[in-house]
Amino acid sequence: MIDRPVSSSISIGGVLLRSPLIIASGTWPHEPEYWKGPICSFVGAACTKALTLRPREGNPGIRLWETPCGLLNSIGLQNPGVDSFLRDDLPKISSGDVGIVVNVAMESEEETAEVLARLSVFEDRFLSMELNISCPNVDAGGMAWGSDPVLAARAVDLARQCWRGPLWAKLPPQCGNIAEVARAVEEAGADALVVANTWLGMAMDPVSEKPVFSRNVAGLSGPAIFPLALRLVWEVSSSVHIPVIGCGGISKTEDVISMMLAGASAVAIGTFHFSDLGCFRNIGRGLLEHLAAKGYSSPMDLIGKGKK
Amino acid sequence: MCGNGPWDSLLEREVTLTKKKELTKNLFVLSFESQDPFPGIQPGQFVMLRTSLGMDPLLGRPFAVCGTGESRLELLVAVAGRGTRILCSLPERERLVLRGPLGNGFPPQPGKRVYCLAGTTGIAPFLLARQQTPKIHVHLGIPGRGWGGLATWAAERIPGLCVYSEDSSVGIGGTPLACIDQLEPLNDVVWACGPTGMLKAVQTACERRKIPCWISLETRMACGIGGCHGCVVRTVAGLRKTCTDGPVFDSREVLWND
Ligand SMILES: Cc1cc2nc3c(=O)[nH]c(=O)nc-3n(C[C@H](O)[C@H](O)[C@H](O)COP(=O)(O)OP(=O)(O)OC[C@H]3O[C@@H](n4cnc5c(N)ncnc54)[C@H](O)[C@@H]3O)c2cc1C
Ligand SMILES: Cc1cc2nc3c(=O)[nH]c(=O)nc-3n(C[C@H](O)[C@H](O)[C@H](O)COP(=O)(O)O)c2cc1C
Ligand code: FES
Repeated sequence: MIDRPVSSSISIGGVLLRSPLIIASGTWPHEPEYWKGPICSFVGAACTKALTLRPREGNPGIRLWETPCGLLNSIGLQNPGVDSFLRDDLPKISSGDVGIVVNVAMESEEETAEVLARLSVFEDRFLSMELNISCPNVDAGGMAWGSDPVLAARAVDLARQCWRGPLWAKLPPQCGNIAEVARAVEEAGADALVVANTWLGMAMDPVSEKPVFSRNVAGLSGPAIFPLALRLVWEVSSSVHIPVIGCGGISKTEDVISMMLAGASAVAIGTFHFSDLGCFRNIGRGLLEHLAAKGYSSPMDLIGKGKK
Repeated sequence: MCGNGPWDSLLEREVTLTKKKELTKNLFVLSFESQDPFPGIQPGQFVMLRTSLGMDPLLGRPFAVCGTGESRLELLVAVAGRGTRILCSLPERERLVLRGPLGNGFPPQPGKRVYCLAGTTGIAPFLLARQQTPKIHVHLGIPGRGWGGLATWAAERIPGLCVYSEDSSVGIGGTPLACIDQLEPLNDVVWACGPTGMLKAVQTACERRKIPCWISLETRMACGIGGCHGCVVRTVAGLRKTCTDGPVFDSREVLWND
């Protein structure tokens, strides 16, 4: 029974989204038909594929490997480079009605500064910039930028100087102490945290007796990782004051509710829409029904409620 | 969970498995009905079919469309692993989610004679092509008698089908590649679909004889719509997505991944 209007919109550090459901980076086509219309009803925003300064080919060899309720991927940072994105993709995806979150892969400091300078010219086209600090810092022996509070803060500090708009930092799930990394990133000026990226995993091919992926390891995503991501959201949201966007394995309304009860202000969904494009609509409707049944007027009423 | 009402986006829809026909061990023709009509489907276009409404297996499986009616769609499915085994053991009337039609099919060839070379289930797009263009010539290669059920069934749908078997137990001994030597570069084109090894051999043979040739590639896919970058193949024009740039490519462009 719906007896008072329930709104699905939420605010993340001042960024207003019409729904807390965000399409996760690297999973959505940069084609105009996917950024408007019924397919996007209940989608609050969509993230682009990670951008780098120069075009990147990504990883060779097998890139996908299904696991029980999950997916290992080794796509790498395949993208056409920031200039080509701005010239060819941005006009296409900004013709729609879905807010764009531009995902930037943290490369060297010089490269990242240059990418952000070029994106800044179009700053008003983006709801926010999501800095992916799961990428290796080549100057520090390939260790992920986000794996250590000092490195993570340096990355976000640099981005903060080059980007005036809202800045979300997307953390790797496996780092020494994620709460410390989160606090360092908050202090460096991030407006929100995305928790988290894929989990490092691996697959072995019994026939060739070799690892399946050319880089040996790959990122695990999909429903299999949901409880892991939920735990991180709980931990991180208890350690920072900025909003947290939960990401990892979300596939149903209950997952979104759980993430929000654990402290998430919104969620990002990637792998599950590979199987079910209707998931945004089904999850969104389910969420509205749940809120109405509980007598809430907004999904924001759920945020962190599970901690009290 | 899938939706319960009519789909607002016909890119993905619920279908019902209406008929399952076993052609030979581990090879099935599956017929599906949808509430809404399918758009026109080109030979070589494919669908992503989930094997259940649950989460394991998680991803849809890509299959070329082998026949269509208004709101009916047919797939030829060989058991190749867990997903296809589950799919082929589903009872009739099971409901599944289907995404598609996806990708680009074989380009029409007005004024040319089209020779379709198929390796086993690679005949799927040519069954559809034959439904639309009766004049094509179809050559099917199978390993041997174990696949005889496919040859018999396909021959009913494609009168004049040329069957080859590697062990000479069915039809002509050898592979469909044999016919390439008789083709004329100016008048004939080849469409090929089958295992990667066969496609590479067709590519080389057609290149040598300067016969225009299109091949339908098989790569792992997660989304089928150009979102995940999981299905790329190296081509002369750089990396291309099999799902949206293909699966059918001009064979001269394909450099493969190894
Ligand atoms: C465009 C296209 C058209 C196809 N048409 C047909 C057809 O008409 N009939 C038919 O029987 N088969 C067809 N295939 C192959 C079919 O998709 C695979 O046999 C099937 O995905 C195997 O799934 P599985 O779970 O049984 O195997 P598993 O090995 O358990 O699958 C594990 C994962 O690998 C993927 N995978 C494994 N083998 C292949 C393969 N050969 N191609 C692509 N993905 C693979 C699966 O989709 C799954 O994600 C086609 C593939 C493509 C890309
Ligand atoms: C195929 C694929 C490509 C991805 N590419 C990116 C990317 O370019 N940048 C990024 O920050 N995250 C990327 N991710 C991670 C997702 O955005 C998301 O954080 C992760 O998959 C966990 O969420 P999920 O389980 O809902 O997919 C990718 C994930 C997948 C499966
Ligand atoms: S299958 Fe996802 S991009 Fe082709």
